[in-house]
Amino acid sequence: MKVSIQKYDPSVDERPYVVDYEVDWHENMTVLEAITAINDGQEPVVFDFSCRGRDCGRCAVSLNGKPCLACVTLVSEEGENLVAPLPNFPVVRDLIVDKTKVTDRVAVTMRRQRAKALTAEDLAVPVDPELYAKMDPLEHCSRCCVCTANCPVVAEKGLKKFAGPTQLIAIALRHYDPYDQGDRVIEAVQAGLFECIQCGACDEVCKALEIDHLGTWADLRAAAEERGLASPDLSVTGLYFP
Amino acid sequence: MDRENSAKALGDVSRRGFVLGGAAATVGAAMLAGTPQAKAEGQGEAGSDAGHPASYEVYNTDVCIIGGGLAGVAAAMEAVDAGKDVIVIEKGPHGFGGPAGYNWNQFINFVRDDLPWRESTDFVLNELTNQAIEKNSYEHWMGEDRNLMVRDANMGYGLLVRNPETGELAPLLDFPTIYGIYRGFSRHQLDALGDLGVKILDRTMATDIIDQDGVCCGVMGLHIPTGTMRVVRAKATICCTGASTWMYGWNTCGARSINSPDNTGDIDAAAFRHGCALEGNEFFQCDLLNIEPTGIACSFQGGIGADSGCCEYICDKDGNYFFRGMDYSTLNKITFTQTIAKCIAEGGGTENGGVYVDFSSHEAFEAIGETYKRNIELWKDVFGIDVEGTKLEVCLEAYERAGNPVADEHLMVDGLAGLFHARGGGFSGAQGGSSVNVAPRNGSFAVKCAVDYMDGLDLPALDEAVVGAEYDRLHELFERTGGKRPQEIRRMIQHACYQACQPARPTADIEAGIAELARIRAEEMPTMTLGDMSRVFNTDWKCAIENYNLLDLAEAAALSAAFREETRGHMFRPEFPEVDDTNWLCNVHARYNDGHITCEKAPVVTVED
Repeated sequence: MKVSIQKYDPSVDERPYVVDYEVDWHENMTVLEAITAINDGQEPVVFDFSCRGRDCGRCAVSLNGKPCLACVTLVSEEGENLVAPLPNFPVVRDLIVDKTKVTDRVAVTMRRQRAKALTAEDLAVPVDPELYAKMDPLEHCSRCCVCTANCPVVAEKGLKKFAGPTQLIAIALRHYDPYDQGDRVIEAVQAGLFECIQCGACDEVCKALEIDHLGTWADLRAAAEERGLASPDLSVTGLYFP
Repeated sequence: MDRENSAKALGDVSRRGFVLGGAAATVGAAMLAGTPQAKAEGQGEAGSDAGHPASYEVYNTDVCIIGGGLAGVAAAMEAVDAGKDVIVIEKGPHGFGGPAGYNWNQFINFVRDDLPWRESTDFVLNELTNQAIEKNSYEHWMGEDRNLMVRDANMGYGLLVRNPETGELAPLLDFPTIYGIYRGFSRHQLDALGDLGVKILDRTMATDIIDQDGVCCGVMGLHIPTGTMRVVRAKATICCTGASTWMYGWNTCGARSINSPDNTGDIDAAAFRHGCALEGNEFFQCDLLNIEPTGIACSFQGGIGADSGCCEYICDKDGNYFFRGMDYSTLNKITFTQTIAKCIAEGGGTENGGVYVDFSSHEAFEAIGETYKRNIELWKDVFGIDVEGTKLEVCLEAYERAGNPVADEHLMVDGLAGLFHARGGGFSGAQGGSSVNVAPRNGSFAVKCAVDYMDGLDLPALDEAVVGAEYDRLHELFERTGGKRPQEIRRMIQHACYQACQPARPTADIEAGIAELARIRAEEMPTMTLGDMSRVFNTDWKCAIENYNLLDLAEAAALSAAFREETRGHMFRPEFPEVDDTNWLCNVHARYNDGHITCEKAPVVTVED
């Protein structure tokens, strides 16, 4: 099986380049297995991984141009296997990209905004089952950023215009969260909610199969529209790049 | 600083021919201009010509925490609450490092009652547990402090598990003494760390502690993206790196462990090399998880496995359901693993050293654990595999391990004042239970003790020779030629350690593993050659540095496994098939003696109530 990998060391290389490798194939072989086999047995390939089960998000790459998680993506015995770094993020080395422009912001969003601490009594109060049904799947977002890498709006307009689906999932989680007291609708609009074209490219590549991306975007949009906030001018663009 | 002096300080750049990576490196030997003045008390002298030509960053703090996981976050919180400055060193990307950085659906459980510590089910007390540590740590959080659900909720955890119709909390355990519920997504804690005002140095591996005359004055490490050495000076250092099980075998892209490649026991090994004893190296704790598809073998996040709830449906390679007929009152995590290990030792294991879970019965399928259930759809989606109705081959992977540095009842490491050690497992002897709930209170307790320790403490000035020696040790790896790459040697270490420490441990296998590890140390390690000369995110370099740590820990584990001549914990020794309390109701300590690792018995630390 042929596997091609995009390599790049910014300390010595003028630009990225592709190297072809021959790798033994076996049934159900994943991209992560292929990269590991090459690094172990042929020559250094720099990549990241951790959980081997689509939850840590660290093995995100692209295969034949399609963003994916290497640990749960199959290589093709007969066809092309071009492994390249995750699109739309700066490359640090080979398959390592820096996702902090998204993940740092997501970490801030995920912190609950509350005026006072929760108590055991607060937690015991039944929550709205509909909110629970919408919020619970979003907990499984691994923040791998594969969705953001596959988003055509991010690709065309950049993160300066649209913070991307990874960010919107985090905002939605706290929007649904009955314990959060922040204004997450404003936050969603600021993040470029109305730049999203609702194409579903995020859902297509997401391996948290529980997450309903389009249903979540529809809820956020409806909440914004209800408050008269449905204007692209209010996106992060409008504040910094009018 | 002028060009001539900067070249002197950075060493002979042209001979090495390397290009400095991205981030600015603060040169440790800046030249001062002007007339020398009388020194103030405590003042040192920077820019001495006799200084080592190393280049490194220097940070200064009260508490340095190594590992930003469950114990590390709790440690950081305790330190912030005590008004201390904190730096957290994390090998992975912040929020994504170690198992806490998996977005995994953890089980939150805690005792509701202030039971006497001996009666508590907050941890698994067994005959080898360090009772002083468990008592102190348990009593550190009393009453409502023990309510992990409230603690976690205030760190941003979600709604936990709710009844889908009524929205009520739906715990798995709801008894007067114990409460337990799923949906503990630990990444929320890591997000909360950012609100605490701690400094996080991520993508930074700790390579050695700063040992100045037996006092730990901080940590040295390497920023992986830039290859820059980082030195953190701290009054107290808390090692919160969790269980190191990455030496336990290898499938195709992971060890025979659910754990993260981040944890190679770097600071446990550092303490070991500084003369500290490691305890319980032979005790690995195991779960049954899938062998195939190999890409997700032994993955708690993506895999499917079985625990003792499924024991009726577990069969050997010949289809014998060897749990049936067992007295289930004796079934716990230890006896569960021992029974399987015994079956494998007696020839019932598959080629991979596994057994089968038979999901052809609907009951068995329904008994699949909470975390694994989620992966049934994943397997269909990615691999086209539907486990329902099939026999799934599973093996015993190691999710947890002792092998921690020996510490006193304040979690301070014996032999290194100022180094504290906190994790979920460890100090627990032949522990047979999950340690997720113990990690946060050990982290918090360790810092409480550290704060007491550092009261009135003056650290000595940073010893440049210590830093220079570590700089040389790390960079000397670039000079080697003619040997194997670190990844190839890593696999040798992992296979040899698994051979010695697998759940079914025939003496011949233990001895073969020991011999192979000794051979690796003598023949392979000295010539280990990097395939990558860059300073930018050099994973060959990282792998090589980690190999020394894994090898130390693997040897300590294999030698301890040989030394303990009985069956105890998650393993079975065919030549010593019984628990032997007469001779072995004790811990085993491994220690470096004149360059060799030796094992000795050590009494169990007990407490009179």
